[in-house]
This record gives sequence, C-alpha cells and structure tokens, in this order.
Amino acid sequence: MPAAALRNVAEALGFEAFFQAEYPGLVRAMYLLTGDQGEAEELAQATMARVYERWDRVRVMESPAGYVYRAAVNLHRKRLRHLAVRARRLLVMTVHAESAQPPGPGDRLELADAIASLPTGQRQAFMLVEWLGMSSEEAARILRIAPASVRTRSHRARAALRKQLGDDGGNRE
Amino acid sequence: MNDVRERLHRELERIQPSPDGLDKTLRLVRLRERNRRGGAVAVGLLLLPGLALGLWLAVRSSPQLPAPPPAATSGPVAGPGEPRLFLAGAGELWVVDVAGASVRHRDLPQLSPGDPPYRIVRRGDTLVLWSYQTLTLDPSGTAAQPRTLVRDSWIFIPSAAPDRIWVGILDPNSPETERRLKAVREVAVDGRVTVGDVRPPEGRWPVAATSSALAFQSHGSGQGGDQLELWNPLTGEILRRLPGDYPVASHGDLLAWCRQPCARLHVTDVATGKEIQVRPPAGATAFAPYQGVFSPDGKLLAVPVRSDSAPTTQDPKWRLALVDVEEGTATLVQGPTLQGYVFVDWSPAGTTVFITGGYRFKERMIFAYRLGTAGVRRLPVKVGDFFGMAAA
Repeated sequence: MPAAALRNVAEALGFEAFFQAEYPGLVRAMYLLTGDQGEAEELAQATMARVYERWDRVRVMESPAGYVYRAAVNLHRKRLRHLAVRARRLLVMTVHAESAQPPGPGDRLELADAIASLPTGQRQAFMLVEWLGMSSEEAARILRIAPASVRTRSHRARAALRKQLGDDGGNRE
Repeated sequence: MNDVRERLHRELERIQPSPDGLDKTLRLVRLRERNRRGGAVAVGLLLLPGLALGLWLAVRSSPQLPAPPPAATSGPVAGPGEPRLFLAGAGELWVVDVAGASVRHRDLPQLSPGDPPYRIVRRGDTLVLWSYQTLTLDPSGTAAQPRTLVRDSWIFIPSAAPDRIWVGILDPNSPETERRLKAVREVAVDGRVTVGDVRPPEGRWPVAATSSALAFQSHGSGQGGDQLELWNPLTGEILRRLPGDYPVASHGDLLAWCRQPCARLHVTDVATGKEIQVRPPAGATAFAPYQGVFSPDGKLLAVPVRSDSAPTTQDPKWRLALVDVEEGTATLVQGPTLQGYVFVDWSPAGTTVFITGGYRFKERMIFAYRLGTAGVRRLPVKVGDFFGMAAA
C-alpha cells in the first residue's frame, strides 16, 4: 500500500484500523529478524504499544508505517544489546535450528529460517532493503550506519542465502 | 532477487499472527502506564522528605508563606449554568468546573481505549460518548452511568442538527484492514432514529456532516486528486466535490475544509456552493484539519493554527485562532503555543473557547479564552490522559 494511502488509513480510521492493517506485516518482518513467531509477535506488540502512546504524532506523519518499522528495528536492536535477552535468543535460535518448529505440518519456512540464521546486521539490512523495499539511504538512517555498509550487508546476506539455498538464488520449489 | 522476494512472500504469508494481538498490545499499554505512574509515585515518595524539609526551612525563614498556586485537583463540581469541561479518557472521565477550578474524576470502564473520529461531543443538553457503542451521559450529573444510545454502532460524528449524531454501522463482512460501513444512521440523543440505515458510498466512513450532506474523503490518483465528496444520504446523490483533503469543522450547511498543507481555509456553503477563503493570521502558517469548532451561532470558527515556521515538522506547535466567517478573516488569540493533544470546544453560550495541549503521560494543559478579553488563561487544574473534550 502506498505511503500516502497508509497515512490516510491511519488518519481516517484511527489506531485500531492502522493496527489491523500493519500488524500482520510487522509480525512477518520481525520473524525475519528473530526467526521465532512468538518473539516476533512480542516485538510487534511492544512496538505497537509505543506507537499507541505517540499516536497523535505518528498519525500525522508522512509515513506512519515507516515510523513503525523504524521503531521495531530499534526495539529489536535495543533488546539484542541486553545480554540476558541475547542469551535467551541464542538459545531459542539453537532450539529453533535443531527442532525447526514449523507453523504447520509440511509448512517449513525454509527461506525465512535461512534469513533468520544470518548475522544480525545482515538480517536487518536484508529485511529493510529486500523485504520492505527501502533505499540503502533510508535503511542506513534507521540502522545508524553508512549507506555503503547497508549495501555491503545486504549483498553479503544475498550471497549467504544463495549459498545456503543453492546457487539458484533460493528459487528451489 | 525477485524470486527470493516472491518466495519469501509466499512463505511469510503462512505466518498468521494470533488474533488477540490488539488486545495484548492495549494491555501492554495499560501496563506501561501503570508502571510509569508507579515510578512517579516512587519518585514522589523519595522526594517527599526533601520537600518537607524545604517547606520547614521556608516557614522558619519567612513568617508569611507565599500564596500557594491554585492547583485544586478535587472538590465540588460547578453549579447549574456554569460551564464545565468533560474530558474523556480510556476508562475514565474528568469533569472540570471552570469557575471553581476544581476537578472530579470518575471511573467509567465503558469508555474503551481506541482512536475514534469523535470521542465525546455535546449534543443539545446531552453528552455523547464513544465506546464502540454510542453512549449518552447527562452532564448535570443526575445519572451516574452512561446510557447506551446505539448498540450496534462503530463510530459516530456530530450531525448538523444540534441534538443528533450520525452513527456508522460496521459491515461484518468487511476485512479488518478496511472496516467498511454497512450503513449510516442519524439518531437523536433521545433515541429517535431520524434517518434510517443507508449504505454510504463504498462503505466509507463519513468525516463530517452538514444539513444537506455527509462528507467523505475520496483519495483519487487521477486528475481530481484527493477530494471531499458531499453525499446526500436521502437521495444517494453526490451533491458536490471539493478539492480538499480534510474537513475542519461544520455548522448547518457550512463546511470548513482545507487542502494539504492547509495553508488556506475554505468555508463552503454546500447547498449553494458559495465559498470564502481565509488565510492564516499573521504569525501562523496553516490551519489544523479536523480540530475546528464553530461557535453555537455559526459566526465564528475556533481553530488551532500552526505557529511554527517549518511546515514539515512532525510535531507542530499550535495556537488558537478565531475565524470571522462573514468577514473571512482570522485573528490569532494571545497565548502560548501548544503541542500534543490539542482539542477545542466552545462553551454552550458561545462566550468562551477552550483549548487543550500536552502529551500522553505528561502534563495536560487546558486554556480558556473569553471573547473580548486580552488572551487565554490557563485553568489551574490537573487532569490525567484524555482524548476528547466537550464543554457543557
């Protein structure tokens, strides 16, 4: 949905409708960062709670959805900095990689799981640039790194995915 | 890489977030609010001994204490005839007695958290409140609890008739991302249905009501661009299309509206098409969409205007302005700039304008401007987080 339409949705329908429109996509994006649906939902809810508290300001922004993803990525970064959470996440990732709990029988998210196993920086760059379609400049502002670093990380993420999924660029079915 | 993206889309589409995400988020909001208040209380308790010591030293050093600031936070509400402000929050309501500078807090669990177009308005001698249902409350305080006016409504907006509202009835088959309406209905505050259910164009939400039409936003990408469509609910005809993004206020058949960035206000008689345009007063750059309110006689429009010079600022600074609808002029009211939750309303007699400011979880401010006086005065009251204001 274009940014202008999202802004209009947010303004005309209010927070709840904005939540309903953005929440599923936010959870999926957070899944790419965390590799765990429970953690992804928790992050998405924590982000949306912050958005709710600032809704009067967010709703008049040029791109409320852009703000949401910025806030979510920042929250994810903040959580990763917390040692205990990091340890827990590593544990979850290990269990996840070993037991590979899929959403349903035969529904293994091979590509999404491969992305979730990338290093954090590459995952964030991939999520912002390849999944959300941001420019490297926009992603750089969010990640507080140079645009060139975003491009490098994104390139490395693509290369790693190709290696993990085969040389066809992950186009196996 | 497009293949990867498409495959990723297909994979992630299979992740279905739990349906109680919104409830969990709102619970988290309330938990964070409680934690914040708890923290504030703890800080207050820590500071209390220091404050007591300071007070004792002040008393010792000066036999005459300075007059305490008038920070009344409780006390009797106003007597009959005096203006009162009703501030609707999530699950609570504050009643501010303007004359006595006192506040009464009421727990009203019926008031849901959320962000409706209108949360509280005065209609005739009754208050109408939003709670996914539509409620009414007697402002005189004789009825302790709100009464359900419309059970199946999703939103309401004020009607052009002073004692009525329009409610929107949700289409249960509409996707959650769209929330289209099955019908709009005009209802008087005594419960009479004055216009029966009729489906609005494409199930859209009305954003304003005039005597002869409901206004809908139409987001066009073609030649017309964004528009306000004036739709007659009795005939189903589009009366008029206005080249604007936002309504500002309505009264009778007058609709005040603007086009981004609202550097000019248009006031259109939607029945005749007669229109005036108003520039912001000196020192202001734009008008606030949605936030204007006409005086009860319709001659003046109270509306926040942007007082900062950078039109792209995401957290604008507002001041109160009065638009003389006949003259087509706007005058800035002397007073401080406001940010955050800015609400405006007139006293029922049309002699005083109230305007609020301040952020969630922070100090909320209420100012009153009595027509003909030099500027606004701040009401010395403390209230909690509210998201709508009505004077009654």
